Amino acid sequence: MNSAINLEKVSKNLGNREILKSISFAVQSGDIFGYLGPNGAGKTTTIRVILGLFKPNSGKAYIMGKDAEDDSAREKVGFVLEADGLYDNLTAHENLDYYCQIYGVAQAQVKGGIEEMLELVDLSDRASDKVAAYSKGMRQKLALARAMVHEPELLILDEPTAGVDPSGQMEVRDIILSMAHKRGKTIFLSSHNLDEVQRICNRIALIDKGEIKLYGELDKLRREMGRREVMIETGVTTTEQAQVLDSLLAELEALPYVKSCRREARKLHLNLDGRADVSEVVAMLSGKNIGVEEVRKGEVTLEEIYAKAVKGGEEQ
Amino acid sequence: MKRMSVVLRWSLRENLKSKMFLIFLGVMLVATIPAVLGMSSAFKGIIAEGSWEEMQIKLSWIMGMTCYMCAFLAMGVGVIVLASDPITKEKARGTIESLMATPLKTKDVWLGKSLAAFFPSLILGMAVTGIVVVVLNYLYIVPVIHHFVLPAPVAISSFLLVPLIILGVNLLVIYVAMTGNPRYAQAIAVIAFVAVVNVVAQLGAHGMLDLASWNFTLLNLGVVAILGGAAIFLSRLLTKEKVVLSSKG
Repeated sequence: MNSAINLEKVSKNLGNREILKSISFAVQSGDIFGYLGPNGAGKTTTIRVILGLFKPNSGKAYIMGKDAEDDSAREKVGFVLEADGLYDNLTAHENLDYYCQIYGVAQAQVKGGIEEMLELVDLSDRASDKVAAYSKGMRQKLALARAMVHEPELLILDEPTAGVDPSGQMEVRDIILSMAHKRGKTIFLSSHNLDEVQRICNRIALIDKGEIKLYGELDKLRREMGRREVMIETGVTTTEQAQVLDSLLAELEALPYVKSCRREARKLHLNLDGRADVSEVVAMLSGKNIGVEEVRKGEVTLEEIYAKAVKGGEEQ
Repeated sequence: MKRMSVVLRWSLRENLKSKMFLIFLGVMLVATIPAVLGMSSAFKGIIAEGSWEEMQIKLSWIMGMTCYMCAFLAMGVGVIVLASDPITKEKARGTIESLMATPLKTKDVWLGKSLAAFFPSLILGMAVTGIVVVVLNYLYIVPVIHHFVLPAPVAISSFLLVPLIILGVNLLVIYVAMTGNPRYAQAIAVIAFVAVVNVVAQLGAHGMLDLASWNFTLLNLGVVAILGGAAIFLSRLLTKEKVVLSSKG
């Protein structure tokens, strides 16, 4: 099993409410995995199952190849939960020191490790300040530092930028990216900030009302989500050529995989379905002596994917 | 055990820096003086009247009462003041959920937090009791009968079994605080403490309970066994889920 996280048909009830309904997904090592969903969808409950805080009613959750209920499974896992979990009356350095000791970081590495993490999150100059005096953005950065202080392989982040101002959000995002790309950490990022997920994640799962509505590689999902836009920049320069192009629009629309087609000056915008063969369109243009300078694929945004998945569910 | 000791060290450090500990310390310091003064008239009365044998019996009895109640009161106040307050704060700040998400076992947190509340109570309680016993002996008893009075059952009950009872109560209070509402835990501790102190004091004062007897020591041993059994039983029911769900308010 090469998955950092693996959920197999996990169901979780709290009281009479079924919070998770037989959800399954896997996060591969090296992924930056976005876990999306509206408020109350079951994101935090999923995280609690992954971290062994909740026992599933049925199904199994694994982290780093071990049963999530096994306390030792979390040795190589770092996390930032909804509440940052920092001790206000301790300094930043002490907060990290406490967690170093909990994770059993070797004494010789504690000092250097803490300094490195504080530097990474740009809090070295505030290391001796009590956390009570920190802003929300600083707290989130410190929580990230604490999550990483024992050099985990997997980071589980629950809304790490919630309540943080835009510049703080950018800083937190940069830290997450640096963790993934420079240090090779696997990231599980729960968020309802679509822009954030779109910017940094390569794979996603979308949960709504306790069910996984979508799951897979973000690029692939974008391609597979039905609508596909292609923009063709033609070499049209004369009025005659423009008229030829206009007359070609009807022929293009007649193709089985073209849903719609329109011209905008020299650009041709085609709305295609998943089976589209763009080379045929290019050949048709060349046949009419219309040069093609650029073909650019358009993709659905995560926002559109999200709306479709969530609203689709509501319509059913 | 290693991880439990980490929780213990940091929680102990936090407890010792807390306002509640300062209040406890103040109460202990202030209460010791009236305790000694209050008992002094009783000792003077016993020493002034009756036969040598009667005096010996009465001194044993009153030393038992003084020593046991002093240990129980001092350590009991410690539990009430120090046990549930740190858990209330941990839950309010969300730090307990983060602790649970580390490789720490739930029992590590439970034991670590319990011992962190217990040790200050133990040290202060034993110190206060020890001071009261020594001062009363050297002020009123040794000058008259020329030896120190501390019957063996009293010493065992007060310096061994009372700490074990308080440790058991501490574990139960922290358990309730972790899995339920910490304020209820504190309220239960206060009610139980007041009830036990009153019952023991009343029975002792009316001669129905001899705190210097071996029977009373055995009774304490029974209470220790019951509390120990309860703690072992509850430890099997303690789950991270209970702690996290109770933290949501």
